[in-house]
Amino acid sequence: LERENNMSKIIKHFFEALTKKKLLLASFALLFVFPIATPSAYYLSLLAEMLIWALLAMSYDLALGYTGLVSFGHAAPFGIGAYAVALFLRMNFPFPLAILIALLFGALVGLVLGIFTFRVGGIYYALVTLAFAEMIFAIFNKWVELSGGETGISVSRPEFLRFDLLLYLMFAISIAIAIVLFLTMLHNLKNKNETIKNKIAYCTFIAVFLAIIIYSFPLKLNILLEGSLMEKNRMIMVMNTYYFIALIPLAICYFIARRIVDSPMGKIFVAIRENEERTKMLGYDVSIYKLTASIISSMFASLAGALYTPFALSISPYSVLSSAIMINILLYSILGGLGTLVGPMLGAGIITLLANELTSIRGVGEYWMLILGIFYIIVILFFPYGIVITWKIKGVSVKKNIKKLAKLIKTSMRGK
Amino acid sequence: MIDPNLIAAAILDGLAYSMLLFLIASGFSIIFGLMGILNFAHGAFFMIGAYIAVTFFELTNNFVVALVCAAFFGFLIGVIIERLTLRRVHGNPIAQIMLTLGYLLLFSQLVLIIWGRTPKIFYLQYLSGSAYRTFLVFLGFTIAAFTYILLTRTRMGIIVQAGTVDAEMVEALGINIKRVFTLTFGFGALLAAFGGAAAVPWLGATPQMGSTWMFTSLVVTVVGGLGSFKGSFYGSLIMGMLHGLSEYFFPQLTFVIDFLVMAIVLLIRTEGLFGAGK
Repeated sequence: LERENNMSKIIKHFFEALTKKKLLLASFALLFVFPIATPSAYYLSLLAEMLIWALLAMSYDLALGYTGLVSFGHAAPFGIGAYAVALFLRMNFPFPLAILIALLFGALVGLVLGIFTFRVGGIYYALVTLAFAEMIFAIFNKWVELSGGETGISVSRPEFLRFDLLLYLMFAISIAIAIVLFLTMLHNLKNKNETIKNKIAYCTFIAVFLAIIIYSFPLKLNILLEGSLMEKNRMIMVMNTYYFIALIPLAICYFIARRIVDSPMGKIFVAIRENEERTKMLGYDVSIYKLTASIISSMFASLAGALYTPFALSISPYSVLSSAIMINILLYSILGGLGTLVGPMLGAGIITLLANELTSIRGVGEYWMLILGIFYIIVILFFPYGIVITWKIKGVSVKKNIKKLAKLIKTSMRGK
Repeated sequence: MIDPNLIAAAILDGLAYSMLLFLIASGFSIIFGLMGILNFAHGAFFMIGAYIAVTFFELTNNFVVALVCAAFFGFLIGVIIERLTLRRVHGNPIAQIMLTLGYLLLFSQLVLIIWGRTPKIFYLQYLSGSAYRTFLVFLGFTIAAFTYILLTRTRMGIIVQAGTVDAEMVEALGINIKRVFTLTFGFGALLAAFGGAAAVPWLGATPQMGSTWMFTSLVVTVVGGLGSFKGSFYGSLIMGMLHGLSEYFFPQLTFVIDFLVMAIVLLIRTEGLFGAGK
């Protein structure tokens, strides 16, 4: 009996630990539930793409948002990560090893970008890094044997994605995780100490979860149980697995990044951003910290690149190294809010989704870039600090309003 | 042996190219010096100037009218952008950079939609080939001298120069610095649009020219010294000559050389070759 008590205690503790960061957990939970319900390979791949750009945007936030390194060369570690994986996959290296090599190259690029900070700062650093990235782009663009030039190079899908069993296993795991999270949410909802905001988040999660289960899970199950894995279903399963290949590193990187920015080192990063001279006077070796920030940020970026290659299957200097990538990263960061980690990820998700949905509409697609430009300018003019920070500043009143509403409902219920 | 005619042609090309670079880079540099804005939209002004010149040349068949109209519209667009949007994000450098980048993107797309993907070009019967390049060199030098006089001999120019050193102090002396900002931004846009218009009979107008010229002028100003008018003149001479010579003798290097020079200059002498340093 005691043992059973212990078990239930452990489970309880597990749930409690799991639910400490409630809103975040709810959003990650949603991310885990999405693929269960999505019956189309297109949307799964769109979701995976959103996750990759989110990882890239988050990596940039470590450099710009936390340490204040205005780097315009962030496309370089991304593109080099992507190319490293592509080239080593073509040499028949296993995928995990190729990712490790890409990380190594990313660290190398980060080292170079970080060494620039020893010489120049501020706007000049931005220009040096821009020059560096443009040179890397030019070298790859001209060196056709290496990069494939304008047509680029293509890779085949990594070996392990061809095992049916693994594909099914991933699907089963995702369902299991979703169920555990669902039960956690239910458990939390019963807790009386929860704030209203969290309860709303749980209710949303549960509602979405149930809607998904009722509406589209049977649809997907039907597709999957049709028999042997035919080409179309196979694609769904591959994308399903691929989604997790993108989601799991993103989750891990997010927690690592969170730990870093909450650690003493992260505090020094912020101190450098706020006042470099003073940090130096306090006795910290500023250049080493900047170098570290640059290397970590570049490694995350190269990981994003490494995940992008087997997803896109074909990469060229234009698609992974050009300044368009850099502009996108800036847009994600500014839309979401710098120095928040979550903000740039959110921005990346929103913009990728918008880009894909709008370009597919006939008549709008041609004007998509124009719309993006206008959108861009509006965002900068009206939310110069991004969604998340604007929410944090103005959120107080929103929270109050929600509380007011809840009170109103309660009193009216009592009145009855 | 290298043909002397080839060398002469390369030098003439380099000089003409320098003058176009100067027209775009001087405004860029003054704007940075005075307002602290790294104006990525400057390449867009150059491009807009080129396309407006194309349209007005097709309408009137008069090159001078095309040049004047391009300059006028450049000024107008610059003033509107500064007054309505850039002023709102004053003091937030990242937002400024993002905003001007946004305009570069926006104008490139607008040009694509209005004038189409194919490059536009027109030729002048009375001025073509090397004659036009010589004309460009003279035009560039005249405008450089004119702008120099404007900056050093007029009240407005002195205010702009003082603002470059300390804008707050100038404001404290009772000068409406915001209006100075707007006018300077407009003047920079005017120069860029004029340069774009002047470039058409030689290089044509393409939707990509906004970003390519933007980056080249960035390199020029960095090499010459950000915020320095003289620096932008010498910087454009150096980069223009390098461009002309490399195009004739090392064509595969032209794309890399700009950024290589910029990185080296920044790492050795951060404030640029002619910058004052701070």
